[in-house]
Amino acid sequence: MLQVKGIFSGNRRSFLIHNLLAFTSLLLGFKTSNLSADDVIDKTWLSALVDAIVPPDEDPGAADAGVHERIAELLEKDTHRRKLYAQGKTITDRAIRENGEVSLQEMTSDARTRLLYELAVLRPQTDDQIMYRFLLQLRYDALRFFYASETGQEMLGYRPPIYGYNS
Amino acid sequence: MTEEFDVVVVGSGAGGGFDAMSLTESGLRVLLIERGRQFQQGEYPMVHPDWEIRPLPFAETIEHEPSIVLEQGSFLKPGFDHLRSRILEDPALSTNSRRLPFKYHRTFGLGGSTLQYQGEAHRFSPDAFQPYSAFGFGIDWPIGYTDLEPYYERAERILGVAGDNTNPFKPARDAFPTSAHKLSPASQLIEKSAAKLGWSLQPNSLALPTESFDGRAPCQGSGGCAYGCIYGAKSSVDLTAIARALRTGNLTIRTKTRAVSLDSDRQGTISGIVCRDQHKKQFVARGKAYVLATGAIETPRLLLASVSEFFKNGLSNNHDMVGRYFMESLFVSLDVLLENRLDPYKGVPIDSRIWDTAVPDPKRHGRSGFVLGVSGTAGGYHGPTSYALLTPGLGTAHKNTMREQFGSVVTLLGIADHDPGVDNRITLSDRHDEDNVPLVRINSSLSHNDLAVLEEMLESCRRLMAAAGVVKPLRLLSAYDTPISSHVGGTCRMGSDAQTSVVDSFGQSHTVPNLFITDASVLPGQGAGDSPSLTIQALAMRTADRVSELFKIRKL
Repeated sequence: MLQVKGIFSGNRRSFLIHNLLAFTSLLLGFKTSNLSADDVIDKTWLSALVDAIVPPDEDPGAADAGVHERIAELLEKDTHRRKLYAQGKTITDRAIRENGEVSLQEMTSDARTRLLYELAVLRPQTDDQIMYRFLLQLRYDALRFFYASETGQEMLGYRPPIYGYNS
Repeated sequence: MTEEFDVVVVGSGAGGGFDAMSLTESGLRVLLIERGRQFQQGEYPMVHPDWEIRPLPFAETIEHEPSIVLEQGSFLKPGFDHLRSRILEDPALSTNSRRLPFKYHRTFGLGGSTLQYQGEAHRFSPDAFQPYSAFGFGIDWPIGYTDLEPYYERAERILGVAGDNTNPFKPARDAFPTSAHKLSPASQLIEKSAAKLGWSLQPNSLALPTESFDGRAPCQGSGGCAYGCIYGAKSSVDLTAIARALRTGNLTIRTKTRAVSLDSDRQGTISGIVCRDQHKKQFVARGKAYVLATGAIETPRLLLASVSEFFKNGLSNNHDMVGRYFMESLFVSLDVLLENRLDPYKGVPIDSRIWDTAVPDPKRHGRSGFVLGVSGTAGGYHGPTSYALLTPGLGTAHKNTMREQFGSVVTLLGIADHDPGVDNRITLSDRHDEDNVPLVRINSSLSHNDLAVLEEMLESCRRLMAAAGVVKPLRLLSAYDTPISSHVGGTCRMGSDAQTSVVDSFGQSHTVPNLFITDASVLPGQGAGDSPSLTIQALAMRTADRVSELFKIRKL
C-alpha cells in the first residue's frame, strides 16, 4: 500500500535530509534518552499525547477511548517502540520547557498537535529523524486503536461486518 | 512417509486444489502438500468488531520468512512522472528515481491464495488467448477459448459463480450457477458516467454465490473477502474443490509441510519430492507423477533449486526458460471522493467491470487491452482504521476530515497485461532461507507500451470520475512506481516450442515427462485485465484429465 503522506510528503523529508548538515550544530546537545520504561508508560503523558492525534471535541477523543492504555500495553512488550517513545518524550519535554510551558498535559490538544508537527516536520532533525519517526509511530498507533474502538466506530456511524450488512 | 501415491501435488490453491479434485475423482490416489495449515472461519479477523487491527492468520509467515531478496527497482522514466503514486491533494511528487522494490504477498494455508482473493471468476475472452494476433502484443497461446470452455463451465458450477450472462463482451453462454450481485450504489453512480462515455458497466462475475450453494451460506456482502470469509460463503478452494476431493477417499493432505526440492533420476524423471514438516523432519514424497502448483514465483524457485547431475541448470530448464517472462500486475487505481456517503465498503469488493476497453483496436496495436472496475475497498479503504491511516493530517483537521469523508471513497481501477519480456525474470539468490532453499530475486520492469497502457487506464479513470461529478480525486496508486503481486504470472509458460517455453498446452514439462505445472506460472498472458484464478482452475482440470489419460494408457 502507498505510504501515508500529506504533511509527511517525500519532498519535505528530502528537504530535511538535505539540510541536516547545516543544522548539525543545533543538535550537538542531543543524547539518546535515559528515560525508564515507567517514565514512558506514564499514562497521564500518554493520554495527553494521543489526544494530540485525535482530540476530544463534540465527540470523544483518543484518551476517552482508552487509546493510551492500549499503547502502554504495547510499550511494555515492544522495546524498540518504547525506545522511540522515550526519545520522542525527551525531545518533546525539552521543547516544552524551552517554550515556557509546564507540561504536555497542561497544553490544549491543538497546542500539542502544533508542537508535535513543528518538532517532527518543521525543525531540523538528527540524522535518523527521530521526531519524525516518533510522530509517524504515534500517529499510526493512536489512529489504529481509536478507530478500531467502539468509540471511534460510533463516531463515524460504522457497523462492523460481523453484525451483518444484508439484514 | 513410505506410502507411494499416484500423484503428488504441491500447493493447494486455485491450481493445486482443482487438480487434486479432478485426479481423485478419476480414481487416482493423490498426496496434496501444503505449506500452511487449514483455517476455520472463526479464526478470521472479521469475527471481531476491531477486525482492522488484527493480523491475517494466513499471511503471518511472510514476515518471518521472506523469500524475496528485495532489490532496488528499475529506474523510472521521467516522461511518465505524472503516473507516480501519490496523494493528489499534495502537489509534491516523490523524488524516487527507481520503482519501489517488488514485494510479494503470499498466502500460506489450505486453499492458497483463494483464501485471500476477492472472488473474481472471469473467463478470459477469446482474444486474450491470441494477444499477438488480436492486439499485436505478447504471444499467442497454444490453446484457444474453445479448448477451455468446458472446463470454465465446470469450474463455475463447482464454485457457484454469480454473474450475468448478457455481458456483450464475453462469448454467449448459459446462465451462471447463481444470479449476479446487484450493483452497489457507487457502481450505479459510475454506471451513469460510463454511459456518458459510451461504455457499459457490467456486473462482475464472482465466486461469491448469491444463493445458498453446496451447503454453504450465500454471500453476506461483508466486503472482507481479502481477510478470509467469516461466513464460509466465498468459494475458496478449501471449501469447494478440496472438500470434493476429500469426499472421494482418494486424497491425503499434508499441511504445514514444505517441498524443498525435487529429486530426479538418470531416466530424466522426478523420483520424489524432498519435504520438510513443521518439526523440520525431512521425508521424500513419492508418486508416479508430480504436479507443481505453488505460484509464479515459488514454482520456478523450486525448479531452479532442484539442481542435480542430470539437470545442472535446474529441472525442466534445458533452454534457460524457467523464470523468464515474469508478469506483474499492470494496474492503476484512483481513489475518489464522492459527494455523498454511500458506504462502498459494504457489499462485494469489486462488483462491476467495464470491458469496452478490452477489445482489439487497430489504433492501439502493440498494446494490451484493459479492463476498468469499481471497488469500495481496492484502494485500501475498508473501515474506519484504514480510512484514518490513509487520510493525511493530525489532530482536529484529521478528525474533521474523517467525519466528512468516511464512507465516501470509491476506487476506480484499470488492469491490463504486463508485456512479458524475456528479461523480466525470477532468478535465485546466493542467500538461503532456514530450509536451505535459495531466496529469489525478481527482475521486473515496464516497457514503453506498458507505460502507455498505464496512461490510458489513468485517463479512462479520470474521465469516468469527471463524468460522475465526483468531488475530487484523493490518491493515485500505479504500477509505474509501485509493483504489486496480486496477478503475477509467466515464469514457466506454456507453448508448443520447447526452446521458448517450459510446458506444453497440458502443463506437461517438455523435458521431464512426469512433471506437470498448474498455476499462474504457465500463463503466456494475463487475460487483458481479467482475473486469472478461473483460468488457472480450468487449466488445472485440463491437466488432470491429461494425467488421468496417461495413467490409463500406462504412460505414467
